[in-house]
Amino acid sequence: MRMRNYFVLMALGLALTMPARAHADEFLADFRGFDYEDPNNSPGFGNVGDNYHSLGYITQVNPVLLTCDFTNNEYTYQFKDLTAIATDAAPPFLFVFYAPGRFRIFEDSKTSGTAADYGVNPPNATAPSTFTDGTLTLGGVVSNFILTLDLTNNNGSFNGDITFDEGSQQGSIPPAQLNGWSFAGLTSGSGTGTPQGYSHQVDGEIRVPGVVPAYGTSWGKVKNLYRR
Amino acid sequence: MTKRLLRLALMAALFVVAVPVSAFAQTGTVIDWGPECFAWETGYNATTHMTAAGSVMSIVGRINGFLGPLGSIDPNTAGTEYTFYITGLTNPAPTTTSVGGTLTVFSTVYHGGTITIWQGSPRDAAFGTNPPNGTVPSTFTNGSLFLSGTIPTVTINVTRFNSNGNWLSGNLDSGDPANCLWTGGSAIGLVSSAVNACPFRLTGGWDMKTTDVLAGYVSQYDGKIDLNCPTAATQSTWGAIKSQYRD
Repeated sequence: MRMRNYFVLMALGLALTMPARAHADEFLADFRGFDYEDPNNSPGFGNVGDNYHSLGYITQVNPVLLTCDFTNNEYTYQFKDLTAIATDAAPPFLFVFYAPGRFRIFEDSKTSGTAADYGVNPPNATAPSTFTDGTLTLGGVVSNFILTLDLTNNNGSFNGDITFDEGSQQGSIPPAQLNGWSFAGLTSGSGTGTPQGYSHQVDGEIRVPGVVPAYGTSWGKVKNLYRR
Repeated sequence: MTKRLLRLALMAALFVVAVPVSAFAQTGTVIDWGPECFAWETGYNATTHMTAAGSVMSIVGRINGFLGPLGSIDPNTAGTEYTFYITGLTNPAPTTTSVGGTLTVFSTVYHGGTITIWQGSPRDAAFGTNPPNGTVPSTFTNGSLFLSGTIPTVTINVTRFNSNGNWLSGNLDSGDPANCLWTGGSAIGLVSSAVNACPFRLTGGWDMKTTDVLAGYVSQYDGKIDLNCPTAATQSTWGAIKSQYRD
């Protein structure tokens, strides 16, 4: 009986020194780019059967989780092959639901690599190829991807979960933080500089679950927690 | 008859030269920021997730990128920061909802805001909690005035699941065509065309997940500013015009 109590206390001690899942999310990466559909089987955006893609630049990362040298390298991202499988509406808003696709971050040398170039009417000779060259830094499966679009002005937003499963820096992210999520605002119209053939300017983030740091305590304090 | 046609053609050419060209040259994003930006407002109800009429929204943030005409400035230079303060955005009417089968969009329109962007040193901006507080907006409005401007209107749309109330994120847009105007600051010359300050547009992602928002704030705003500069008119002479048509 006494032996069993020790096991319980040891388990509690372990729990106190192991990082625990927190209620707060942590920033992983900031991105800005443009999106397009390919194939775009029917006129308009977000029709069932169309594939969603987005390309652009990683503009900031959380240095605790990812190591990036923005002085010497270019960091680009790609959302790819998200197939629209269903829609819903709350006029003037359209909701588009997607089957899983992929998200990837690439690192490419500014001196020996090829500078990313959107070109026009993607896919083209430089997009996505100049956004997906270099080293695959981090990538994962995107699921539960939902896009909200205001049909009066073609602006909106997207959300999706990301499970990271590849890339040279996958190992630098603690296992408890490999299930992240993404959000972005989508803007169209004047002033956005959207290249011909792209649909929206995209501005958003990747976030991951935060962790609460472990804190030290004594056996006496642990036992006190259970005395009444 | 031929002479009269020539005179008309020359008058038309003069008109084109003297009147500023109204076509807008898209210059795209000039200011960008990421996770370091949060908003709060006076009349937001966290239970109903509705904003009452008359609520005033304010936003503070730290810039992580300058592009285009501001691209020579590095906002991440050690010891320096570029911060901004948007305030005065007041909604004349409560939040409205658009209800779908699985999702609902919450829409709120605000009017009458201003923005100031500050270059400060050291890098001391701190959000704290429950703004306004000891560091907000004060540590975001210290240093020297980099840019100031007006924001006539802003619309924020945020989506939620009907089944469990969980937030999806949304977006903010000050409207198309761009109608925000720069009014001052040391960098106003860089965002002007000829002598006129260029219109700009405020957009980006709007995140209301409680796990992403600091205590006392209502949202995290990952946004940017796009510039929409008119092409300036060019002064010329009759001789110069005529010489363009001579072999």
